Amino acid sequence: MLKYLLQRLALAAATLWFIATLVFCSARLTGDPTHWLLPEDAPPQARQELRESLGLDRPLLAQYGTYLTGLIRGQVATSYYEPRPVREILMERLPNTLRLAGLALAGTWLFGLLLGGLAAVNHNGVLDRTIVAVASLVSAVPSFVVAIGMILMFSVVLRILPTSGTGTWRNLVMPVATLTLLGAAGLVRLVRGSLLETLDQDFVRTARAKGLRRWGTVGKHAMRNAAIPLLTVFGTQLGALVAGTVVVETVFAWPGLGRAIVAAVNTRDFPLLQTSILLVSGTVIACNLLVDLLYPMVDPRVRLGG
Amino acid sequence: MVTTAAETAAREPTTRHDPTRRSRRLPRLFPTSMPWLIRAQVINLALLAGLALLGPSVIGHDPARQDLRARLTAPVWIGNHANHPLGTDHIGRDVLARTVYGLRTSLIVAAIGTVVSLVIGTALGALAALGGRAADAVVMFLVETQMSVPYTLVVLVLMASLGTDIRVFLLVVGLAGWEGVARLVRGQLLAAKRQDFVEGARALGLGQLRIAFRHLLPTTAPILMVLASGSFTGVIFLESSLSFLGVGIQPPATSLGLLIGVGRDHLMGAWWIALAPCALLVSLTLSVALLGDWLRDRLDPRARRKLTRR
Repeated sequence: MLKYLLQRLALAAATLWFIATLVFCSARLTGDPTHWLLPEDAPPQARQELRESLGLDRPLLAQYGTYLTGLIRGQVATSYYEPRPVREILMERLPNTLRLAGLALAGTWLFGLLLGGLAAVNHNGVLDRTIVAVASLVSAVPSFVVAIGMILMFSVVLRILPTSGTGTWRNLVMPVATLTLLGAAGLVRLVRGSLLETLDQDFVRTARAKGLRRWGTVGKHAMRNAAIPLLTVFGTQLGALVAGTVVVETVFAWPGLGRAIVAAVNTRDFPLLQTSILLVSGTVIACNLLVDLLYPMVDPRVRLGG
Repeated sequence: MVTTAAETAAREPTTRHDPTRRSRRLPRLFPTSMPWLIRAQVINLALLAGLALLGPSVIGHDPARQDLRARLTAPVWIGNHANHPLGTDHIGRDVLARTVYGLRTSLIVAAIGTVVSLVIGTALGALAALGGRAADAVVMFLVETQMSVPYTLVVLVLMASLGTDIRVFLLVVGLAGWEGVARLVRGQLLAAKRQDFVEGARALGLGQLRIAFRHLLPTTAPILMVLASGSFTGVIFLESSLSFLGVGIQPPATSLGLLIGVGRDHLMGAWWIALAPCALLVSLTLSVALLGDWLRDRLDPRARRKLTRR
């Protein structure tokens, strides 16, 4: 157990370090940021002063060291463009993204489990075929096309929902629906597959034989066992959700982290970009680690350390 | 009704002299076992490829030419003159011409990106399976790292720093799916390594490299075909999303994602700018996905059993 635990921890730490280094290198690869922060005709004196104040005149390894220790201590830099710490900007954006992603995550698993379960129980029936066909169709459509389709339908034709902005619950409907639709479409097939595999096993037949009803069997016995492989999917789903959130926030002009990241890419605001990327990937990596650690507890059959 | 052997034999000679038999000698366009739905996807993909190849010269409009007097012209079916069949965008460029050019860029990027991801994935998967324990450990560590990172974010960082060079973009987009390729190729090679024909080849005195290239790698061909369709969809999704966000293909070049991104800003007044690119993109990804599913079911009996059990 301990060996497995350490192995997983090491992998998570290495991944995080890898991303931190990648982010650092990519910020330095572009060359001198004073080239695009100052106007063309800025005096060399001013250029040099800005370089010093950003710490760019020091040797690269020393910069890397300061960067890593700063990360560990939780210190973050100031944005290039807004005269305030990145932390403030992120704290302003984070609740919006959490609201959007949290609702989408809940919707994804609710509909994924429900429809996947329905399809599996109804195996090869009309309902099953319909659900699988619709899920395959939806998974083949990029997120922003789904979002634009929704805008065309509900804002342009029916005129019942606003195309962008925040404030009321009506602004949340389309972004959450887009993310839920895409997430659930991916999940349904996995839930169905996992449940079918379980329903085929002997203990399910025993449960049926002793007189338990169909839904009782599914709910009490099969779902629990089918949930184990689905746990590993959670991490992948979260990664997809992050990518989807970036796009959907941009489509619906939702003032969240994803839009801040895209804006930071376009303006090359590296302090803001670094911190937000590390924050998001750190969350995803932590969730993956949690899943890895939970797995042997949920399923004692897993052989550890192998 | 049960057909007896005699009846079948009686029918044989007529088919032999059937005039349609000659056409049978020509190579068949589709395998007979291919369902109509899948044939339709193949035809659709061929049409899209043809449109991307020949379209620009047939349409005759310059996709970059601005006609400021004809800005935001509605498509022809809402009663405009046929000069711009699908309308024009906010600076008077022909939507049809731009969509066809965008399709061409998207297809080229997807094709090159798929090749990049297959080559890198196969090379690393083969290295892991055949290159000894240390190589295996390193490659599998890279695979796990790649899997636990939201790759879209990594791409965003890379695009911010490396700028918008098209070669860098192709490499970055191609790197998206390599880990899945590497894992499956490794698994296939590990399984193939244990089989008798490899033992036989070794007993005949063939060298390691010859066995690897002539006997082991060819066994991955069916998997690679399925993986190619998966990679293709993945690359198109990534490219179009990035271009949509404005960090992928850069103007004056254009791609379907970029066109949809421009169309997003004009949805309320001029929905037709986004409509055609959206339709082409969806028909492209749908066809590739359906074809890929069918290929997987045909070529990988394990997957078929899993999907349509009993």
